[in-house]
Amino acid sequence: MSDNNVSQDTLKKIKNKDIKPKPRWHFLLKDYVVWIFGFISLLVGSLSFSVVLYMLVNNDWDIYSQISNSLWQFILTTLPYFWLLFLLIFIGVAYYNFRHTKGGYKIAVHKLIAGSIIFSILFGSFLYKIGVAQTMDGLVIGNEYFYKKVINRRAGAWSQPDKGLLAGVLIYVEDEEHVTVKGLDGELWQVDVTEAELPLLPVEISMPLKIIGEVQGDNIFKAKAIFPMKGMRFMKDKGGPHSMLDIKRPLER
Amino acid sequence: MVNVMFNCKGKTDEELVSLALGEADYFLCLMKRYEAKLLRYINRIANIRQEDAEDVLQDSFIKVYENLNNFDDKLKFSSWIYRIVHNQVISNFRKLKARPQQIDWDSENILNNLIADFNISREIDREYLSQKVAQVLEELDDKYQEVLILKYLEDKNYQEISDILKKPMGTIATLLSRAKQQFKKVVKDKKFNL
Repeated sequence: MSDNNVSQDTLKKIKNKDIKPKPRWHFLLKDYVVWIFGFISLLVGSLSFSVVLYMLVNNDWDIYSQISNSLWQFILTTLPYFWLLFLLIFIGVAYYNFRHTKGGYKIAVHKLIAGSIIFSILFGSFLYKIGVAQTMDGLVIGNEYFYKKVINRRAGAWSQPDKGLLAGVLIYVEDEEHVTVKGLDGELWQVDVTEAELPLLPVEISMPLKIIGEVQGDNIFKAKAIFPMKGMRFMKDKGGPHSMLDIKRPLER
Repeated sequence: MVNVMFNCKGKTDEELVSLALGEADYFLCLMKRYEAKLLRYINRIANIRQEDAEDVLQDSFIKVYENLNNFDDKLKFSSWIYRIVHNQVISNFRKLKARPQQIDWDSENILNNLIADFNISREIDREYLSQKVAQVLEELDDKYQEVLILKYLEDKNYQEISDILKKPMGTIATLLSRAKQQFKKVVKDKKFNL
């Protein structure tokens, strides 16, 4: 370029190369995509928060001392890390998208992140309240091993009969001293309830239960305490078709 | 062309943007308005040969033209075009390399702002001051250089700097405050008599 006449040269180039302004819709589309992805990320973040809340509320707070050495150990082992990570990732994605909207740079980083977190908490609480979290937790069970090991480690924690922890669904009441429970892995256990503390509410067929006790033989478990297992509705399906079971009487001592 | 140039007089940048969308010749008026300022800005932040600076400016002008439909009229056009030039310099050279040998004070106002904000003696020789300011700028971190150049050499206010660098106003205020501290520290360390 010469003689410091950049403007004239640029205009010539624009005309010679027939350069045109990009159409307005091109930019509008880009803006809409960024906003839509931002909102989708916020919704996914809210869903994650609702499941975190659901898992925390339904955690075994009442019997933590029987399954952990301390409250901290109990909290650390049962925190829903998978959903917390999901929540963090989508808050990050929402922040990234809103930061890249036209005026996004005007809002301070901490305000944008705080806004995303507050929205996720409020909307997530609403989703929890209307039962979406429970459905969500049920939907991700597809791969049960992954579910128990990663997504909801509480379910996995209760599938350790050798350590005195058994979770499953009550499928049959033999007599007042023995019941049959189908474990999360599908194995049938005969559970001796003679000396077990039972929950205050009636125990019914197909109800998910968590049992503390000890293994006494091949698939024989002696229960010390039996509790309903909240937040594990998916386990009801483990009971098989109810029509096959003709027993409706509650298990009462 | 003459007609277009004549018709540009008295028109705002924003009006020219609308006209340029229909007739490219109007874009020449916008380029003419900013050519000298932006070339000087590129030289201040990039320290490159004049020809390279002109190439960067041409690339920037073409980018501005292609993106005219994306101009947000909530912004000042000058902030928008400075932003595009700033980004073009960074994308061409990856890093700002401000090493001005000497600074030309574009207006008395700019010089007065600097003197007031940095407690510089009013009796100081201007050539000496411009050399020393250039030397101090060279010593500063890139992020501090760019805000000081925009504030004191390009005479931009906080809102404009925020729009050019795409950072919140609060961040700009913090950067400017830290940049001033670093500036004063360099002056002290180098024992410049300002």
